[in-house]
Amino acid sequence: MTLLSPYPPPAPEVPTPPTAYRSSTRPTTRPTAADPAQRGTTMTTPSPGRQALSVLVENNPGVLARVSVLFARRNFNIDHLVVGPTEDSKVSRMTIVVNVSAEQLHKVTSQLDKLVEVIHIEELADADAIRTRLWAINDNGPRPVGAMAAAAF
Amino acid sequence: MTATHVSSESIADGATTVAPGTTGGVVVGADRRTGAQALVGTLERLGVEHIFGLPGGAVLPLYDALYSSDRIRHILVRHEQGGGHAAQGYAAATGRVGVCMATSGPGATNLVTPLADANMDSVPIVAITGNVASTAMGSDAFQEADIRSISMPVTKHSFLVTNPDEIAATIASAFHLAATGRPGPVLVDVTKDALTALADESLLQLPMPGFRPHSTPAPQAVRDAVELMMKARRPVLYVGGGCLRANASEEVLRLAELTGIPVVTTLMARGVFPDSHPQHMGMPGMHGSVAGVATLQKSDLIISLGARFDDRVTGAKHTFAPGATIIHADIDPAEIGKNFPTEVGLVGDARDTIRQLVLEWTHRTAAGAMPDYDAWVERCLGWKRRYPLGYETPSDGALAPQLVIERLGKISGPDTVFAAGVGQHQMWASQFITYDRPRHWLNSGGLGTMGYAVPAAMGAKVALPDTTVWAIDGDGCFQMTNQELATCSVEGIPIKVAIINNAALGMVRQWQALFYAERFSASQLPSMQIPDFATLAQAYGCVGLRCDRPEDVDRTIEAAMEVDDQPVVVDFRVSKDAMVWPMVPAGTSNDDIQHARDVRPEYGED
Ligand SMILES: Cc1ncc(C[n+]2csc(CCOP(=O)(O)OP(=O)(O)O)c2C)c(N)n1
Ligand SMILES: [Mg+2]
Repeated sequence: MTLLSPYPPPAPEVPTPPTAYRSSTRPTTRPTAADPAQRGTTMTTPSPGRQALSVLVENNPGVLARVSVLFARRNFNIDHLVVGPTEDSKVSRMTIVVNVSAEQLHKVTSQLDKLVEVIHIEELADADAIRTRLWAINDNGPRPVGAMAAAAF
Repeated sequence: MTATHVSSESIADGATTVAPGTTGGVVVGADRRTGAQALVGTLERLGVEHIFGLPGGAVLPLYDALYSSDRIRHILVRHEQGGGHAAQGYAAATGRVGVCMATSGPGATNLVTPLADANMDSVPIVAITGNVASTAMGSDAFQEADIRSISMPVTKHSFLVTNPDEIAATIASAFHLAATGRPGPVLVDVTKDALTALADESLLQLPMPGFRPHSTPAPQAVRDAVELMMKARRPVLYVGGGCLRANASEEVLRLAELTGIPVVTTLMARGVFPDSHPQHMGMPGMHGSVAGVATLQKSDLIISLGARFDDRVTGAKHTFAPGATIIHADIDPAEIGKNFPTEVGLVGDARDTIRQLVLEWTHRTAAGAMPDYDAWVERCLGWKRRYPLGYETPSDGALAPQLVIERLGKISGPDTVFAAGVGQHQMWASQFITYDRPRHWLNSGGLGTMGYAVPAAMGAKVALPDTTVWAIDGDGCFQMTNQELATCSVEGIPIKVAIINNAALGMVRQWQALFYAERFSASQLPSMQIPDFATLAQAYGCVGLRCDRPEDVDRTIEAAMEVDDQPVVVDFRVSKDAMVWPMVPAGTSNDDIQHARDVRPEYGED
């Protein structure tokens, strides 16, 4: 094709989302307190295990970026991440839920432990319960319905 | 002043014209110094003698303060990447922390490659960059780049300092971090307003509660390790760069000779254990010796000392050393078990760890234990005898690159420091020169950075002015950082450069010859015509020589050795068809090593 105009051709129309995404009601698979086994789309695929970490870090600017860069660099995907203050204004706490096996978790904690601003790491028991509560906190705002299908074009 | 006289960067932050010597327009009292002066004062206090850098708007206050320092020599490089690699060469040749400096924005981003390189190879360097004023940060100010964040995944740590009172402590902490535990690169980014403001220097170190390096392995782990060594029938000492950084070569020799266990040294560790020692089986890995690869592959116990089971060493992971149990000693706990399940982990400084192993071994043997490795040692020596390194002389009379490198090693002698680029010439330089002492072989192992050689040689030569330093570079690599020859000429740093000119990105060409049906896509260079390296060298104020016949090699090297007041560049025009052998093709098993093209060695029965 020869482009006669120096301008790019018009963008294709945004397609209608596939029916599966079009439901205007909330997906029925999202977790509820009564039914913790049914927890959203990602929960339906078999997973190597859910792990939760509590990480005390120095409350410095950029520390969140440093921690998340480490997860990305080591090829780990973060499920949930919450950061908040502690009793000590110089220290923040991060609660991180990751979808990995216990063995992989050890690899990521030993990398995390090397970060100069990471003071202390603890693996939390009952990651699933923590995840359920984080899901409840985080399950607000606009629904992702259709967003992925539109973004694909 | 008009814009034609002063570059826009010097007025980017709206700073008023600065009178010379006043550091950013602040009149300095007798006892208070500016942030910039505090920074330079801290460097002096830490014993820094050399900095490789290049100024710009954001670091003008720092350069003004440096101007009055008579304890620090600043070497003005031609590109910040060269400054970074020079700091690496300086550090690798001496074990001291190397220092480089750059301005904000592009100056800082030009340091990313050497930072990543130093991170991969655990080289202690500190990079100091200026940034725009903290008040301008976030506004996309002229030459603003968030180098603290950019450098996060490629440094041991990176600091951003906006408070002048924290400059001194941060610099001191950066040096501590770079050199302590597993060494690595640390970046300190300082905003221009912090450099110009008055600084309180009473804080000497940052608290860093999260930095707790290990130094000594657990006694029980040491006992367990020696127990495994006693039971093993086919053990190997797999010696890596950690032993170099920890100055553990004497200890490695002691452990090896005490136990009689065969040794392999990685690309990073060459010289830590003498190549010419009878127990040395060579280098393992993609272009290692057959004996080096086989000794690891057929062992039943790998005692890894400061090595990290890199994929270039292990080949296809699932086929690596199937019969081996692993003892892994490393100062970095995250290395243990990272790539392979480990039976015993020894977390600590390599020198310390090896001393403990020696002690425990001595106790055990004194109490009567006597492991028998004779059959295994005999087998390893058999591989070493049967498959020595070698090369074919090109039939068309062209110069063999291996010959050039072999002669360089022989003629320049054991005191010489060699810095290599990345590619075929690097592998030949690792194969055909005998390294019997640590810190005489510098190269970019983990990142594989073309362009490392010339600036790294420059850094090494600055640190060791009385030592001969040869850069062995490729015609491709050389063109990435050769501008530092100007630095060498102007600053009186007489390095020697041997360009192994095969008119090709040779290593790429080799893979294309072997695995892409000789479709030489974008791998040929016209380096016999453009550039003319000898003339280019002369343009840089260096002696430029050329050699393309085997019979001239010795004479040319001797001529280069005689020049000691100027850098020398020799254009060795070599055969472009030479290949690096042995080779374990990427993604295949160490069992499939080829000694020469399509020649597979016989390992013999297990
Ligand atoms: C910065 C960088 N870019 C690309 C590569 C990929 N690469 C590895 S070796 C090589 C060829 C190097 O050519 P040359 O310096 O002439 O060395 P030779 O292999 O010919 O000895 C290339 C392009 C690299 N390692 N580093
Ligand atoms: Mg080449």
